[in-house]
Amino acid sequence: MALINPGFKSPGSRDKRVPPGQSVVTSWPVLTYGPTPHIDTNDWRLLVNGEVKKPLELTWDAFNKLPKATMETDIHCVTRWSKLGMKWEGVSLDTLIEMAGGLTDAAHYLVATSYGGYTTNLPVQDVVEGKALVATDADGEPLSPEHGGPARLFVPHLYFWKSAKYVRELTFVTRDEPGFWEVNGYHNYGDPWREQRYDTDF
Amino acid sequence: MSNATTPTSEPAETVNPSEWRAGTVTGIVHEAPGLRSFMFEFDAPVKHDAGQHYEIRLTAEDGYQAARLYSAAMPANDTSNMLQLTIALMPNGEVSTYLFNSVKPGSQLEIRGPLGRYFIWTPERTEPVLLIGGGSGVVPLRAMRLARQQAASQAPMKLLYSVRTYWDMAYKYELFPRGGQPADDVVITFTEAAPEGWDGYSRRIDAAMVDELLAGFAQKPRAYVCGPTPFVEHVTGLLVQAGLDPGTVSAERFGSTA
Repeated sequence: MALINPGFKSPGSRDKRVPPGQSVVTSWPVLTYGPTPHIDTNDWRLLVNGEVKKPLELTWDAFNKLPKATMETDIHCVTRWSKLGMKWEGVSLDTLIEMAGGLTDAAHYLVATSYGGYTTNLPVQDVVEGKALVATDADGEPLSPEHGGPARLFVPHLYFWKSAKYVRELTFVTRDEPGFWEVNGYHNYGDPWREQRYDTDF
Repeated sequence: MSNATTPTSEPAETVNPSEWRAGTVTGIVHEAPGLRSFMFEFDAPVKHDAGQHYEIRLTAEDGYQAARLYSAAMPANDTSNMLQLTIALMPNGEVSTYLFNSVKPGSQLEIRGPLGRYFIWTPERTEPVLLIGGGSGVVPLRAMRLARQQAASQAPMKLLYSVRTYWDMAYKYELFPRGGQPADDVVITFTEAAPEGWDGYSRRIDAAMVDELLAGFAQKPRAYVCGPTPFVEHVTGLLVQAGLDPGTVSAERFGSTA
């Protein structure tokens, strides 16, 4: 049972797209645990490996020749901001998995690894069937390094730390491997609608 | 929300960081314009590592809730029930506006934590440390500095505080006693106006300043950088250019890209 704070007022009508405990921003905050890596697209590679039938390595040019997909959606950061109605563009993970010959029967989790060493983990069912991109553009602009460019994982139905910035490697694995924030106090799954923020949250 | 699965081997007073607890405001310190420290008292000892944060949650009569994250401004010890959070007033910030306008000594607020386990310093660490704070980004770094003092740690530690003017400084009487000099382990750079007679830095942090600071360390320090996003982008970039391994530069940002 919550304590009522006298004089604290609700802002009135609340947008149904906003999960509990989130506030809407119009700017775009940046949260990263270390320095921002600046990756030259000439050196950029995307690896898709682990429990796939044909491990894949793509250059920036090869990646950008793949069919693009868009997602019009909202993003939710665990630090309590949500940004609504964004348009994201990139390559669907379904496309990347297909190019890698499909998943093996042992692929149960995805571990995404970034330039700089950041990692995050997600169940496979959360990144297939149109739920995830490797994104290069947001609202019609290429992603800046601060926002995860050249390309970041994009899984908007989970808190945004799961959408690993400057992603380099997508590794499908059998056993779950908690990533950087997942071992540093944050929730292993991170559903914004259930407020799975911290590892001690339900 | 109570957690029924708490292992019985843990001490009874262990607090679940996810659980909201009522804290009573015992004092409010006006650090600088738009920057106040709120002192809270709980019914159990406050335990955290320097650099960790807490959430404050506000609830309206109709059930609407808003919460924000704030860094602890002081280290914990094993006995004190006190928590200090230093909070910046944000333009149109629904939580900070309420805290500044409506909260008084005696007010009760819901708080949970400590939260986050990455941007922390603990006294077991013996490597040299460089702390760099911009504006209210000094808050968690101040907790680290005091944690080092409290533990009588011998780890070399230096704080670089970038702030507009003397009057914008938090913890003035601790970091830069009036009429005196900054504390030995504190370097200040005033980015808008320096006090009269100031012979220290009065410019934005640049490569030369970073080089001078790093020259004061016998070995490469671990760095903790906290401040507004453009500040942190700039400073962490300088540190990496100056030869620090990016993996030894921890950052905490607030606010947006321009």
